Amino acid sequence: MPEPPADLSEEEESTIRAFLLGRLAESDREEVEVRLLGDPAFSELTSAIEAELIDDYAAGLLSRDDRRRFEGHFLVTDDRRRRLRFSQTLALAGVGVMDSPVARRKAAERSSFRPAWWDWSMTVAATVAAAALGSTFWMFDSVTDLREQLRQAEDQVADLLLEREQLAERHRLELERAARVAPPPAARPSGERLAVAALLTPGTLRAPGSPLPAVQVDSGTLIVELRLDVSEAALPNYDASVHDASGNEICRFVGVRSEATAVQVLVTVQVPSLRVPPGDYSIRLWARNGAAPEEVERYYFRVRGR
Amino acid sequence: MPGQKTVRRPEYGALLVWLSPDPGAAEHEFLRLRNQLIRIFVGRGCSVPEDLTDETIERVALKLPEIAVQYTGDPAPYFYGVARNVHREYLRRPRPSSIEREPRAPAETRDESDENHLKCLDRCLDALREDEHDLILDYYRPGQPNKVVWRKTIASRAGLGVNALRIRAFRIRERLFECLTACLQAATT
Repeated sequence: MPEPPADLSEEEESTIRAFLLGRLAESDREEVEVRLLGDPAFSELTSAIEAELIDDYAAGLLSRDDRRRFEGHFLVTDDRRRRLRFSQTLALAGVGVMDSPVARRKAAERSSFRPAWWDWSMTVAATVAAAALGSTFWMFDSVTDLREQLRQAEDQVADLLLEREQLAERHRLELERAARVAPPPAARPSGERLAVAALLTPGTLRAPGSPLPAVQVDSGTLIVELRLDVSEAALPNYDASVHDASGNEICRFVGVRSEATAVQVLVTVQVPSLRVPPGDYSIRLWARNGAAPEEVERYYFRVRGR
Repeated sequence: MPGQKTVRRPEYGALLVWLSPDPGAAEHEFLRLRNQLIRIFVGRGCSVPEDLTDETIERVALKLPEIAVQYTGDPAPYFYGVARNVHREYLRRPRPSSIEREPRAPAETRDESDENHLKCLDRCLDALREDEHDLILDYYRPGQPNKVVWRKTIASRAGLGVNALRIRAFRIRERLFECLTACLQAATT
């Protein structure tokens, strides 16, 4: 089996996608063609990118222009149409396609619930984005430049809306999980929260009088969720221990996985609020290297309550 | 007989040997070249890319007895040269109008229900090794807002470069695709 190219720049990947969608100028296209025939590793990588392009189409993630090109230029062989069907099957099974507007709509149709606001908000957001760019469009001579800018704006809108929906879904799941940790009280005044969250960065100094990140924990709050930024040197998983101001261990979490967001890599621990009454605390992260865990980072925070 | 043209037949066996003395490698390279030629003809907007590819391969095979002695090096550029000629001739051919052109039949009939596809996919996923199963679910995990960052994370976790991970996931996916295709065919026979 050929070895893949070590690194593919964003520009090279963009060139391959442009080739697949028939957007390349002739000289650039011929360069790609020669490489496809002569370089087995490159041709396999192009096949992998082609599969991802099919996934993006199946998930409704292509811009309007790319969708047209995909349908008119790309999807012309039986093999590609079979692969599209395969991608759709993967999406139905929840595998192979990132969480997307199309996959979520299909899930919603199956469960007889469809968030109608989704379609309208996407249309409104795209219209707003297009209107915002409209005032600068007339400054450009080339129609091609204008179309390219609109395509990028549409892509950015789709990405932001997708991210918003995914964050909302994640928040909902986390609240459900928090509710399972402790049963909700029989009656709760409005305004109380099941969980409160705080983002901590490493190495916050613990000097007398220096401000610590504070977490406000009101009565009725059941869970204190602490999100630890490990972006500098992320490992797949950690152990985490919570300590009081005297260094006594309050609780420990084993095998917590790191998770990537759009801008950070985070480790999340959820501490029952009863374990952390108002006061100062630290969290220690431990890497699992062989038999003995090794402390790799420490975070500090203060709990304030009513 | 006088006036009768001698029909030459393409020497496909010799073509495979030209690609590689090892039969397995030759077949692999033949299929790879064929797939890339189809991709090239599609990229050039041809409506019959498989036919043009087969025409290219046939011409190379027909020419092989003449060129095999003199031509040295990678056969791929020779295929590319022939493909370009085939494409030029294709552009000069009269094309049917949009009314006369035969409509393209869909690749699959709509008898293949989602349930059949999902059952076959389940079966094919179960046939994967555990590490392959985990990798493909991780690589394509839903709910990751930024798949570039997520894939860098799992690549780093697996001790691989991003491209190497991408290829590994793609190869598993290809096996799933072939398995699913075979399963669906078996279900309809």
